[in-house]
Parts: sequence; structure tokens; C-alpha cells
Amino acid sequence: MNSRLRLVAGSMAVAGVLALCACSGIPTSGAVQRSDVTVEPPAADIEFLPASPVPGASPEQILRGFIDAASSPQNDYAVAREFLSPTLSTDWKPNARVIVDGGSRDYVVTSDGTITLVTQSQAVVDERGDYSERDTPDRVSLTYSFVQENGEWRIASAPEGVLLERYTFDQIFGQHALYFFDPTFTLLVPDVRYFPSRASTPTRIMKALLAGPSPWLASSGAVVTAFPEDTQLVAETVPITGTSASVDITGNALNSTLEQKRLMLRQAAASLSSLSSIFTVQLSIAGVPQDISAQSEDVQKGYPQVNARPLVIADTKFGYLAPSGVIEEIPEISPVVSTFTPWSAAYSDVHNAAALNVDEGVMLVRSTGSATLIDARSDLAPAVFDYYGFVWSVPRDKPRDLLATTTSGVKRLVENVWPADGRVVAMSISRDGARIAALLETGGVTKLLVSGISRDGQNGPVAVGEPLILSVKSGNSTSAVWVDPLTVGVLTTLGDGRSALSLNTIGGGVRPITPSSSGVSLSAGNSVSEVYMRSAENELFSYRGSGTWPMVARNVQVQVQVQ
Amino acid sequence: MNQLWQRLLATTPAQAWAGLVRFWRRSLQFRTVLISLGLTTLAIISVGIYMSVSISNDLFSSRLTQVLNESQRAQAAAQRVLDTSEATDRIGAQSVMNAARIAIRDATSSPYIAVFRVPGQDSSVLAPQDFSSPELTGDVITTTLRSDVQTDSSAQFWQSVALNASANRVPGVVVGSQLSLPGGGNYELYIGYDFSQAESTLAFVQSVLWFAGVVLLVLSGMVAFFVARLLVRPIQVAAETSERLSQGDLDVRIPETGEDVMSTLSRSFNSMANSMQRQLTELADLSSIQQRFVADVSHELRTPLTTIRLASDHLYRHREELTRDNRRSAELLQAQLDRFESLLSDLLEISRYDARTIELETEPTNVAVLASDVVGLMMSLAVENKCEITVASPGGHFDIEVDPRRIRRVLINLIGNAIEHGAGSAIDVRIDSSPTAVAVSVRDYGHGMTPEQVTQVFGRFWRADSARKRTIGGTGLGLAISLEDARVHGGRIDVWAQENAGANFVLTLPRKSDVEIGELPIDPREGFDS
Repeated sequence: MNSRLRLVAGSMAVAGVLALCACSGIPTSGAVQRSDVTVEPPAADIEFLPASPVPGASPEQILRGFIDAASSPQNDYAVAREFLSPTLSTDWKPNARVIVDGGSRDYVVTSDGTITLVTQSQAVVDERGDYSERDTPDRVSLTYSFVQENGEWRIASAPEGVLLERYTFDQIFGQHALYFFDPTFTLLVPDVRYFPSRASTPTRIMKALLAGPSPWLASSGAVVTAFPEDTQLVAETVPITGTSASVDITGNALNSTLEQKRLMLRQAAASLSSLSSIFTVQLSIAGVPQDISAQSEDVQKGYPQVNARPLVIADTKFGYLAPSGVIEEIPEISPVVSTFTPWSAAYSDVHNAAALNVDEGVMLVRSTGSATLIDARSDLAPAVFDYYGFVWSVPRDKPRDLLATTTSGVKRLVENVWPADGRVVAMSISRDGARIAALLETGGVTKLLVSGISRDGQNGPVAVGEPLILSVKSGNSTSAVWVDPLTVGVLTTLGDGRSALSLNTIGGGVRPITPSSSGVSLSAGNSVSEVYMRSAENELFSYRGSGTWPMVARNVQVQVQVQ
Repeated sequence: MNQLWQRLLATTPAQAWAGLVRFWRRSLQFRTVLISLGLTTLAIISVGIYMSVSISNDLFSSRLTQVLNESQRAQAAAQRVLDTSEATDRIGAQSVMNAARIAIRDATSSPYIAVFRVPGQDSSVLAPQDFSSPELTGDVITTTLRSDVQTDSSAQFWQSVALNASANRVPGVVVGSQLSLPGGGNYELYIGYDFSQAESTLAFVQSVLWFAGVVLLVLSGMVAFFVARLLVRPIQVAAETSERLSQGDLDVRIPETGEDVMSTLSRSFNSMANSMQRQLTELADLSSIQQRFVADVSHELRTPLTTIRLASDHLYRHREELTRDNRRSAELLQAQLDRFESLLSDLLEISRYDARTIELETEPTNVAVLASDVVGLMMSLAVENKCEITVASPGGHFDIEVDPRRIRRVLINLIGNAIEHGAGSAIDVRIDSSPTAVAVSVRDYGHGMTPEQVTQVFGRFWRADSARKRTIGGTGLGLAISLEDARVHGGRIDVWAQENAGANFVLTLPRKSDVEIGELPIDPREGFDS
């Protein structure tokens, strides 16, 4: 190798080295590369897969497709919107109303090109998610007009909301209880709403919670919310990370005390607890995470619980019915009660007092052993206690003369707007003390009226608010009790002598249960599985969830309503 | 030191290069060190590049894995926010997108976020606006990356880019994926990650690598220097010893140490030197025996010769009384005895030279004068041979320390030869000098010699033409002795001849015995063609 060749080889080596040195840096350019990291797809819990509009569809086909597509609320009813003209697609408000029907619909094509859909509405869910069932199916006409967009028919105008048949509604709408506080901010009071099940349901729940309670609860002031007025979500989203929901509310709450924030969080956690995917809730105010969080399982703890065993008067003995059949008497109270023969009784565990409906009126038995006649009016409906120890009594024929009496005997009139000409069959006050359910018969028709209770600063009941009127089965309804925080059970003796138990979810639907024998009265513990029914033969039956009604005792003269 | 600097400064690059090349050729050690340095550099650079590249790859890929995962978490967080959107108007959607942006910001370490609505979707009044960090504007997000992200909603793509993060563009990676806003359509999400930290780490590692490489290079150069020295040293010793041996110092030997290959070389060399010394000594002994034999023979012949001489002289003196035939024999005997005597004395002389027993009796002598004397001495012989001798002496008019007897003998011999072989031509004698030497040339224009004859002219008992008559009666040893005479003075005799053009013999003597002759004062080829 001569020196010239060596020189060339050397320069090439140096150039190679320099080139390699240049390569061994962090690159500032390069090809686009696909990474191995998997990307989380958008949440997809689609159950129904409605079809998109097909080309060349007639207006009626478009309408039918649109109605079908209401079964898919995902992506803000993205499929349904495809059937709408662009203008309507933007303006259409699917959440404004949900009409639940039986599924038989008539399509009437009118001369001006519109189509009117006629169906029988069974229930309606309003914008807030309040569910109201119709006693009798309601005839509903919905008129749609059409326009051609790029040669394809699209809906140009449509009534707000969506139309769903009962089965589909049950599939895609879920019952969610919003929780508000009683005025003392200690007990959570549920307010049931119906929302479509989709990824954004927690957002919908939080928006509804912040919007406040349903009118019947709000009007009476029976419940309050811990959130300051006009509080909203910062962004209309409640993202769920793992099992934790992040609620970010606007700055109105920034000045709240830590205690108030805890209350807000408790409300939010309780309201979101109906979603199985959420275990914890993280509260942020105006983007600032608050150093508090709540687990949704804790939310029911604040609800007052009573003894799960039925309190009865059997063989003239007043006491809890043990599984063995023995009556366990309550000291101080039972001996006094035994001296009376009440036809109805109520007992306050908290205040250790009993209210007995005797022939003379309502007798209050206190733990001191005293028995006082506190309401001597005639024809009184069964008296009940509330959480604060007031005895509520009313003459059956004078619903407006509702009296609340303290255990010390102070009486006060509780204003109400029940029909003055009605007849009070039964009353029951929810264990949170915020709601009262009353069975009133007016003109031969019995209705269940559920209202909020407004109280004064000392928790004294002042008024019963505008009622939510629920239908009950026609027949002789005899008893209404709060079975659990959401449900009022109504016992009705039907025309054929058999009994029907309907579990009315307040703000929701009705679940009918048919007891195996006929009953005359009801009592309940803390849940549906603690419902007891007494037959005319003084036998006590217990409801088991499977639909069986085993008899648990005989000679039960009175079922005591425990508060 | 200053002088050295000045010399260095005065050296032109070309000179320095030439010096280096010379040094490269001459010094084995320099070459060894340079070659090993070169190879070590190559090795260090290769290893350095390998390490640098692999470290850079590792730094990049670990940071990339981190940012891909981070970006995926950010995308997931944003998608969760969007999934639960209940926005029904533009402002609501905008606030949801804002919440998504905050979620991305919380989930990733990078503040460089850009969100664009995937083009080609139905317009939606709900759709929030695109937004981008300034660091990602411009051509940072390439159209190829965008089109890849747009075509695949379930994959993540990344690309190396230069971010506008600070005053100068820094290396980074943009990771792209899709988001879906219910009612608002699909969005492209891009998150840019700054890789300058990785780059500075790499730069640090590289600087450490190169520094270590340089240190290693210096160390290995030193190692090569010492190793080469270790190996070259014995070779140098061997070379020097060989040199001295070749110059005749037969007693030098290489020191023998150890049992390695160098000691083998030393032993072989030494045994070679031993055997050479032995043979040379034997040869010298043999030669001296021969010389002594010649001297002894010459010497021993003298005694009987003296007796014969006495008898011959007697006969010669009384030759007139002899018969004509006997008289002729007596004359012949006398002439041959003269010849025999001079032959013997020449033999003795030459044997003295061979035995190196010559002792010069030097005295300051003017060579020009000496030459003129000799010419005068030879004039009668020249006239006898019809020769004309001319003497020219442009130089040489000074004294030098020589043995005048021997120089005279040389000149007599040369001039005699010229007369004898000059065939009656003219003879030019010229004396000249140079700053270092004095020369006497004897030029004849006679028969001359062939080049072959010229090479043999100084041989013992050699005659140019045995048939030619001998006027001077040379012994055949004249030129041999003359050559020895010149040599013993540190001088030389050069000859140039051409057939039928004559011959030129030049005696050159140094001005001082210990001075090199250098350039010849008289060129023996002077006056010849060619």
C-alpha cells in the first residue's frame, strides 16, 4: 500500500468516525413510528346497536329508525342524531323528556308530509330525571316533519325527548337516588331519578344533584343541599379513574368550611353510590383538589336503623318477637302498654315512648311509666312517631287537622294541603323524618300522598308540603309503611279478597308483590326483607325476598310501627 | 532552549514533514510507537463509538418507553374525562375539553400539549376549538404523523422532532393518539416531550468517554515507547557490534543475558564472530609465515650472491683476457647479477611492506623540487631513448612531511616506466596541488595499455609486454613497491591509459598524513579523449 492510498484510507476512516459520532446523539428527526403501548379506547358499554340511516330511506323509515335509535344514548344519542337534519341535530334535546310506552305505535302520514306517531304513554321521565307513572295509559301524539338533505330524507322537526318502550326503558335507564340532607345536615334523604345508563351517567347524577331536589321535596324545605347556590360542575364531566370519581365544582364552594365540604362530599358520594363502578369520590373546587374523600359504602350509615325484629302486641304482651317466638318485652313501657288494649300502636325507639290508639284517642306511654291521653279526638287514624319524637295524629275525616304532639304533651298543628274531603287511612313517616306518606281516600279512590315535612329550628314540624301523588291498586288499601328510605309499601285488599302488596319507589316505579294470604296490616324494619304482614286471623307473616311468606307468629293483635 | 525554539519556528512545514519522514525511516522505535498509537486510536475510537451509540440508544429508548407510557396515561385520563361528558353546548364542550387538558397536564410531565379535531368529520356546533402549546406549533407536528394518527384511532404514534422549547431547538419526541368527545367528534392529541436531559447526559458520557480515550491513548503510547525501547535496544547493540566487527575490531562481542530470542541472537552472533576471528588469525599467521619465508629466502640468498658477485667482478675485470665467447659470458653474468641484486633488494623491500616493518624517515620535502631533481637524473636515460621530458609545476612549491627517498624512488620508477614504454614520445611531468594534496603526474604518449592491462598494472611481476626490451632492467616489482610507498604516506597512485595513446600515472600525496586527500589536484584522465 503506498502512502497515497494510506492517506485516502485514513481520511475515509476519519470521515466515518465523524459520521458515526454525529449518529450517536439524540435524534431531532425521524420516521413516524407506531408504539407498542395500547391506547384506551373510548368507553363503550353499548348494549343496543341501532342502525344508521340507509340511503334512499323513506320518511317513515327514517322516523322508525330514529325512534329505534333512541335505545342508544351513547355519545349523546349519536346514532339518533344521524336521522336528523343538521339544524335539528344541533337543537334536539333528547334528555328533555322520555316517554315510556307499550311499544304499539301508529304512524299517521298526513297530507303535508308530516308523520304523526300515536302511542299510549305509560310513564314519563322529565328533564330532571323525575319519573312519573300514569294511572292509565295516556294517549300521546308526536308529530314529525321531514326535509331532504343531499337527496336523503331527514327529520326537520321533532318533539323534544325520546320515545322508548317499557322493555327498552328498563334496559337502558337506571334508577339513581340523589341524596340531600335533612335540615339538620345529619341525615341523608334520597330523591330518586332515572337516567340513561352510559359512560356519562356520573356526570348526569352530579348535575342533577347540584340542580337540587325534586319540587315536592324542595317546596316544603324538607331537604337541603350542602352545595352553595348556583354551584355547578366546572366542566360537564365526572371522570372515573379506576374506581374513583373526580367531582370538580365551581368556586362558590371555595369559602365553605371544611365541615361543609365534607357534607358536600357526603352528598356526592351517596348520590354516586348507585354506580357500581365508583367506590371513592374525590372532590375538587375550581380545579383545586380538596384533601377529603369519601367512600360510597359509608353513605347509608347515617340513616336511622331500627330493631330488625318485629315489635308486636301478642297475647296482650308488648315486645319484640324473637325468632324463638318469645316476646321480649321493653322494660318500663311494656307493663304499661299491657294495661291497655290498643287497636294500633307506634313506638319510638329513640325516645323510648309508645303511642297507642285506644278507643278514647291516642295514649302516650313514656318510659317513666306514665300514660297520657294526648289526643282525645274521635275517629283518629293510627298515630305514628317521627324521628324527633313527635306523635302524629289526625282524625280520619279531617285530614287538615293534623296534630303533632311532643312526648311532653305539647301539641302543634301541622299544616297540610291534603284534600280536605279525603279520609286518612294510614300515615307513615320516613325514618329520616323528612317525608310523610299518607294513604288518603277521596271519593272512593285511594291515593298515596308523599310530601316533605318542613320543620322549625327545633325540628318541630310546621307543615307538610305539596304532595307527590301516587296511585295505588284499586281495592281496600289498609296500610302504608316506609319499607326502606326509597320505598313505601302499600297493602291493599283486592276485590276478590286477596291482598296485594305494592312497593312504591318514591319518584320511581312500583313493584307489586302478591302475598300468599290476605293481610290487614303491615310493618317494616329497615329493608324489604324485614316486611311483616298480619292477617285477619292474627297470624304474622314475614316476607322473604323469594316471594314466600312464612308465618312467624300467631295471636299477634297489633303490629307496632317502630320509629 | 531558545535556540531550539527559534529553530522550530524557523522550520517550514515541509521541512518538518521531511524531518518526520526521515525520522520514520530511520527510527524503528519511532515507527513502532507511531504504528501502535495509530492502531490504539483506531481501537479506542471503535470502542468509543460503539459505547456512545449503544448508550445513546439506551438513553433514548428508556426515555421513549417512559414517555410512551406517560402519554398513554394522559390519553386515558383525557378520554375518561371526555367519556363522562354531558356537555350539550359549545361552552360546556369547551369546558369539558379544558378539563381534559388539565387531566392530560396532571397525567404527564410535559407541558407541551396540542389537540386538533380530526379533519373530515361532520361539523358540530359542539366541537371545541383546537389548541396547541407554542412549542408544538410550526412544523413540529409533521403531516405524516398527523395522517398516521388520523387513520388509526386505536394506536399511538411517535416521531423524533426538534422542539421549539427554548431559544434553540432541542431534541424531543411527539407522541400522537386520538381522543373521542361524545357529540363533538374525534380529536388528535399530541404531547411533546423534551429529550434535552437525555442529550446532556449523553454529552457528559461522551465527554467522559473521549477523555478516557485520550488518557488511554497517551498511556498506550508510553507503553509502546517502553516496549519498543526494550526490543530495539538489543537490536541496536547487535547492529553497533556488527559495525565494529566489520571495521576489524574482532574482539567485540554482544553481552549474553537471559534465555530469550535476543540472547540466542547474541550467542549466534558471538559464535560467528569467534569463528571469524579464529579463521582470520589463522590466515594472518599463514601470511606472516609466507612473508618471513620470502624475507628469509631473500636474505639467505645474499650471502652466496656476495661471493658470486666477488667472483663475477673478478671475471669481469679480467674479461679482456678471456676469449670472445668467455668474455661474452662474463659480461652476461655481471648484468644478470646486477639484475638479481636489485630483484633481491626489491623482494626484501616488498617483504618489509608485507611484514609492515617499514619505518618512514620523514623530513620536510618540496615535491616540485624533488620531481625536477628526478627529471634531471633521468635526463641522460631519456636522451638515450630519444625522449624529451618537459616539466610543468603550477603548484606543489611547498614542503610536506614525506620520506624523500621513497618518493624519489616512486618518481624514478614512474618516469623510468614512461621512458621505457613511451616509445620515444614526449614525456610530460606536471606537479600541482590542491588545498589538501600535492600531485605529480607522469604522462607519456607511447603504446598505452588496454583497460584490462590497467587493472593489472600494479600486480607483482607483471609486465606490459615481455617481448619488449628492458632498458632500465626493472624487476617487475617497481609499481607494486611504488604503490606501497604512496600508500604508506597516505597517498595513492592513479592510472589512466589508452591503447596507442599513452598512459598517465598520477602520484597524489596528502599535505598532512592525517588529512583526507579529497578532490584530486590532477585528474589522471586529463588529456585523453572520452
